[in-house]
Amino acid sequence: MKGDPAKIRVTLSAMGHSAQYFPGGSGKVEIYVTPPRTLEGILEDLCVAKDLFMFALVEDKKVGFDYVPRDGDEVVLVSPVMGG
Amino acid sequence: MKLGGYMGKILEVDLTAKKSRTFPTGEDLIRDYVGGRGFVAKLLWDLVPRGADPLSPENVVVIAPGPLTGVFVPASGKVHMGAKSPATGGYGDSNMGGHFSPEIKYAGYDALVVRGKAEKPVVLVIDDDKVSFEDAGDLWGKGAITAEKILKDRLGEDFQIAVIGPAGENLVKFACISHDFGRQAGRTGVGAVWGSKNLKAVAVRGSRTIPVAQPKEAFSKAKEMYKTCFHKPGFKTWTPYGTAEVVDWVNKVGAFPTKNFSTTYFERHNRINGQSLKERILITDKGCFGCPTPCGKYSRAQTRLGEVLVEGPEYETIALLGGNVALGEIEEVAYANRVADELGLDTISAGNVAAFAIECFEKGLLSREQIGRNLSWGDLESVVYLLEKMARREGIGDLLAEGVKVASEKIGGGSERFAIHVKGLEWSGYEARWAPAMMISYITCDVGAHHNRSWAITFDVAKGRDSLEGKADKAIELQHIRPLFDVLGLCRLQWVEIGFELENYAEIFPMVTGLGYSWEDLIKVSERIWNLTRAFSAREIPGFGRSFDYPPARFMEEPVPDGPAKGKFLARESVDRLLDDYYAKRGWTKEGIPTRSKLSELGLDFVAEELEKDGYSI
Ligand code: SF4
Repeated sequence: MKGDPAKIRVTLSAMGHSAQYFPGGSGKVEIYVTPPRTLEGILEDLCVAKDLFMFALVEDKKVGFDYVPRDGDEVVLVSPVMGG
Repeated sequence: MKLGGYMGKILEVDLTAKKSRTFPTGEDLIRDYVGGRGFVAKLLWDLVPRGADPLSPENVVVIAPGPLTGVFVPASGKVHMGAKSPATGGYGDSNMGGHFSPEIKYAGYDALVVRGKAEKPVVLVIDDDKVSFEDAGDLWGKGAITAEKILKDRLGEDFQIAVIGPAGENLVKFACISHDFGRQAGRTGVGAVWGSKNLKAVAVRGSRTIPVAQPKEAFSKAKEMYKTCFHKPGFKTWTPYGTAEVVDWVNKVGAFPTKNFSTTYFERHNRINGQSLKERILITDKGCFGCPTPCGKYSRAQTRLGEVLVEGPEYETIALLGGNVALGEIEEVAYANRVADELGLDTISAGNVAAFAIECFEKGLLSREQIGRNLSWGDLESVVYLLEKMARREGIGDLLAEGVKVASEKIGGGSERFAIHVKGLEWSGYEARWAPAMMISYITCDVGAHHNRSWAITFDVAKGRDSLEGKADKAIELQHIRPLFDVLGLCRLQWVEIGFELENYAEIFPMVTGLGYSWEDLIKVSERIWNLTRAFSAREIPGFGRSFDYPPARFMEEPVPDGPAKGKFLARESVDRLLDDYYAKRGWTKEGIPTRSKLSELGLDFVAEELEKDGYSI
């Protein structure tokens, strides 16, 4: 919750077609979590299946779903490539 | 208002008489079918004589860019190629990138129609208004890539050339058309139709300008579209790897074709994935006309059989000529890719056929004597041997060249259970035993088992992989959106892969064409085309209907033996529930034939009359 000093702020944005399955369908959420929490755990909290994404990016670098976000991280979740 | 995006005429070529003529692109054709896939579907419906043998001179080839092709809309270089399919006997088409499509527009045409059969092999040369038939005697028998190079040297670099290889000449039911040294119209055997007409290649050069209804607005919108593409976060991640990026994910979710789809997880996937491609064999990226996100990967690969240069491999080839035959090194997949490209084989079907042959050998249904050698999984020599044999119809290749459906009917011994196809078209790169939305997408795809009309595995993941609810609706939704790109003459990867918004296309369409269509209007056009292609197959295939919409028995009866999808299969009752739901939502009969009221709603009364004549009760 915003204002709770024990929590950190993490922004998740979904890139590609899996964005539609994010809460609200907007493909972007800003949440406050009690650290340490893995990306997989955060997605579970949001009821979003991690298999909807191939991998995640933080500051343009690939990270796994075991990544533990830091305060202010912006995590980009990349949808699977569908091809032609 | 004068329409933009259209050149106003269609070129019709009669190969038998070596004559050509043009006719105006009809207002009705534009209004109801818009272009590309729409023109292909309608012209095939009108021009292919009922019951024509797909490999006879009666069959008709239609090649159509879209109204947005060749203008400054991002990735507007796609062309649609169709004919009555020799693989399925029904509606057939395939889509190809590169630079061929815009050149057709620059030469002044909205579509090319090719009829008849040349007495001897020819190259059809279209140079603006001038149409000629050049002798192709010296090119017959040559590989597709080799022949394209010779033609470029002969005619000039500025000609865009589409060509077939030996597989097309030998009427292999899954022969493709090749262009730009590595782009293919791969599916449904359109290459064999060219071969049956003695048409080795089509070379086009044009010098015209494409009219645009509102040039200023369209140009500024297109500029904005490019900018948006470049700033999408996916731009940086998707472009370096192209479609190969997805190999690991498809394995993770248990959907990767492995050993003739006997299982869905390939333990060597990380040796044939996007990273392997990038780190071990990639030379440079290559893109189609006007593409902001070039997914083509030009590679050099060294194997024990030699070195190859090849455009690829992209995901489908990695799946079918990699995991499905258990080739576990990216270099080997690239080698097989290059062999198939030169021979003019569709890598998806060819990978299926090779895997089917290996399994038949393993099970004792084909002997060493019949095949001419031993076959084994993960053996590059076995794969290359089979590709060569099928493309040249030598020995066992003559049977394999018919595709897995016909081959399994002849081989018998229960091989039909693992002949992986729908309607005679081999299955592409996503196994669907644990993905009902993907399953209904595949089995109802209008050309056979192909993923490009609807790709819905993430919908399965999001909504429950064991659930059947809403899966048919999703397939229908996607079957209208995705083929719309083939109507417009655009690549859909910017939308599907990097999240480029559909609204952009809805906005630029009227600016280019002057047609005041909303996105919903365009979706309706797509639905009309979907019903027309289904009706085409109903008209052409005796007894067509529900029984043509089932997956192979393997998917309905054999649980996946290992990997993330272990134990999963989609029982026939579940498939039936999906089909019932799908037909009802589409407004089709329980047998899967469009009803009269649905056809009327779509302005297709003339189709209803034909189907009634055929005895369908609709
Ligand atoms: S994304 Fe790939 S297929 Fe699409 S236009 Fe670009 S290079 Fe061609």
